[in-house]
Amino acid sequence: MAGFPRIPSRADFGPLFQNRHAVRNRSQQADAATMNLLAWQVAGASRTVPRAMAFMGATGVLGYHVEAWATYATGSPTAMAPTAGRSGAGVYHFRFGRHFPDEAGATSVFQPLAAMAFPQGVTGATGALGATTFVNGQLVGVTIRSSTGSGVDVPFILTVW
Amino acid sequence: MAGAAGHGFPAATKRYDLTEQGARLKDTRPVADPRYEVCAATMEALLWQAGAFGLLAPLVVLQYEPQPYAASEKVRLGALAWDDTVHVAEMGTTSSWGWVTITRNAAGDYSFEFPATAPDAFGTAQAITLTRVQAQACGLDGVAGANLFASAYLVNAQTVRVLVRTAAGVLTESPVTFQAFGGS
Repeated sequence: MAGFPRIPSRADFGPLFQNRHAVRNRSQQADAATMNLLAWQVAGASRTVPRAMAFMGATGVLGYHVEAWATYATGSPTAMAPTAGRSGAGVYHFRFGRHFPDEAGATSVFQPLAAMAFPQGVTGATGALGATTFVNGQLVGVTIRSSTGSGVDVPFILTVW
Repeated sequence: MAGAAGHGFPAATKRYDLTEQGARLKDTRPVADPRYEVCAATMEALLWQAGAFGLLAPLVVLQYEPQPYAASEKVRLGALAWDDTVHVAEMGTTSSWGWVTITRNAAGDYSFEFPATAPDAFGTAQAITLTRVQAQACGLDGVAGANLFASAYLVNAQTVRVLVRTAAGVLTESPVTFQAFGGS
């Protein structure tokens, strides 16, 4: 079995659990139904929760970031984070590593597949801001434009699956 | 007090009322070695976290590239919280893969219909009820998306409609990503 960055299926948590004996005390015994429900929920959520999120500053400095595979430490170690930067007005990029340790320390592959970016309000900004993303291998690109199409430097939150 | 009575995805399952995931757990005796025994606090933490996932995790995440835009119609990412067999990119000329039916109503106007029900953790059919959706236009491999604005709404509890417009408000073709949530 391996967790993030790999995505576990329900089967990865073992077969359907069954009670070997009748459960006599619900507060002292986790029954099979509880364990089956727990495994189902974790497998299901693992598929749709973001693998990584990041708050990007307008100048291209990576701020707060979290990665699903970096749960051992408080916050998120730098080695687990993407490298990030800004290459032009409203144009940002993130490059994620491809291999990260799972819960057992074994190396697993992370492959970004989709992303969404959400521009954040800044004092004095007017007009609509539109964000688009692309994924190419380990690279995630973000472009933020005004309604006239020109690139705009604003902070944003990036979500990656 | 009853044990687990929750269903699991596609239904929300929460911890706080101590019914869907069973009673609050207590150790029957001190845990001598946590490497070999799971203590009640650990189980409580796992159930708590899973309960939160059940409330907050998207039910669907999907990235779609329409055929008139891409060389062939493509779902780059299709992830369902209720079906662990779906988390792969699928390509082809068909727009229906069993777990979703995609309809291109017009340029930049796409519908995504999911089944009415799906089996829960115990194999019992549960209604799929989407309540919120969020969409964004995106680009293709290595190419930034155009200056586009996507909006999305729910046609019904199983059908998402995504509209992509230019800054001038004209519907236009574009790959899109959306996430849809359940709950009440």
